[in-house]
Amino acid sequence: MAHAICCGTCSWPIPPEAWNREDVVRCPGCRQKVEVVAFPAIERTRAGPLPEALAADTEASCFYHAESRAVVPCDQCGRFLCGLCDLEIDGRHLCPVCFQSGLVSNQLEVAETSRPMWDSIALATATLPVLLFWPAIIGAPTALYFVVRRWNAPLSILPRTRIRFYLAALFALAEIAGIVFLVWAIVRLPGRTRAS
Amino acid sequence: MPKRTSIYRRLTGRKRTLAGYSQLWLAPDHILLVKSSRLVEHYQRFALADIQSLVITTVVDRTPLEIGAAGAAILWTLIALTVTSLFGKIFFVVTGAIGIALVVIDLARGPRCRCHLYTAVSRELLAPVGRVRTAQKLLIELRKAIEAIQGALPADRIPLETQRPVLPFDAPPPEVPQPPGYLPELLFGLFLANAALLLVDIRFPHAQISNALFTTVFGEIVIIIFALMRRPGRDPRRIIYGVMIFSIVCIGWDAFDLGRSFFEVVTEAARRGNSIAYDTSLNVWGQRRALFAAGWRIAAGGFGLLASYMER
Repeated sequence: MAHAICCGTCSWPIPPEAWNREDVVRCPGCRQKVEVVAFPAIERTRAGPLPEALAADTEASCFYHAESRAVVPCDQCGRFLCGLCDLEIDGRHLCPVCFQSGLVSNQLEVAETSRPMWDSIALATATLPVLLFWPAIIGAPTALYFVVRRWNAPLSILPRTRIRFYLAALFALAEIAGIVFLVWAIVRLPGRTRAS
Repeated sequence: MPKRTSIYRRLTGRKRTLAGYSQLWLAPDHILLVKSSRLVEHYQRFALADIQSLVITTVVDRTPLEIGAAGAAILWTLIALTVTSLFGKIFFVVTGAIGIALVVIDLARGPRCRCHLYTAVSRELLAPVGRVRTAQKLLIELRKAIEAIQGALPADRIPLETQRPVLPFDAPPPEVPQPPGYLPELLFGLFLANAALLLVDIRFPHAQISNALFTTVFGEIVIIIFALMRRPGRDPRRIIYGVMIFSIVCIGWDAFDLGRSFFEVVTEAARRGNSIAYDTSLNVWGQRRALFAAGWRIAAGGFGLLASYMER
């Protein structure tokens, strides 16, 4: 089922006569200007292929649908798949189970839905605790841990440098040096309070 | 190691919010909508072959509001003429100038709009496209990319709405359940930890343990705000949020009580003619008040943990 093409302001349906028009069109509901650009995909009534029924007993059937004809094997596990179960990802044919396991193990970059930004996490861990001063005692070593542990972890799928990792390491080392100096200074201070 | 080149080309700038940003990128065969909370990126891909339409709608004109905001900012700046202190003059001029600059930048960016992308199974608001100028640029780029794959749709082939099976436009989308998370449990654990700190401070008043409370109590407030903001549509539990509201009242009372105690100590010292150094510890608070602060934290923390376990 397709969605009706609606006005983005009032959700009033925009009639097909108003699609792909060069002149200004106004929404029948709220009178705001609307521009609808439709593409040939709008003619399609369904999104994917339907499975074909087995024509003879000698034909291979789908591993998941015994009554459907297999059209392709899974490139990961080799199971036969019908048109419904075949998921074409980046030129590879996968069954739903392999697709799911690939998602879980983050092996399918093209189907990845989220990714932690370890460099930003390290930088935040290095910088934010300093605002409250004493949490830096925990924050700085934690940031260093993230930098070392996640240095080779994949960053964003978008273009991104490792500058945040470098900055996090720099801040964390500076904080640790500051903390060590502070402790040293306290220990080495003339014992005014102790003497009194 | 060969340098890895990205398949993505930037389509729009970043639409920034307090919680993160969103941005559109173009790949050879799909559009990528990135929603980032700064620490985690979420990706939504729309295959160019599946995009049915793009709809750009202008939103209600805000020019009168912007003119009003500019007038208010100018008036605010003019207050600088009435004050005598240098700090006051600088404060009103700088804050007023920032206000005026924001309005001018907003006007310069042009009229606002909303852009929706339709596929056979989804209708997605493209949040990074918030201005008509950006939308027109995006449309030119996307039209080229989509028509390279799908071809153009001639006017005589536009299907009549009556022939298309459509969802009613006001049909609510199916709800996507989200895990409630463990922020409330973390908060109640922090209550118990802070109560322990308070009790240690009462027992060992010279250990300066209570200085940590200035940070951890601030942490309590931040976690409560985040927990209440994240709750809608995510966490159906009720009792624990009632406990949080109760905690806000108690934290407010603690802050008021601490401020009053400090004021009393200072005025008493002034009355006697003593000079006292500013003391950041809770020693000015008194044992009774510290016991109250520890007591309600133990009650709220314990009850909250129990309730969150029972309600989960």
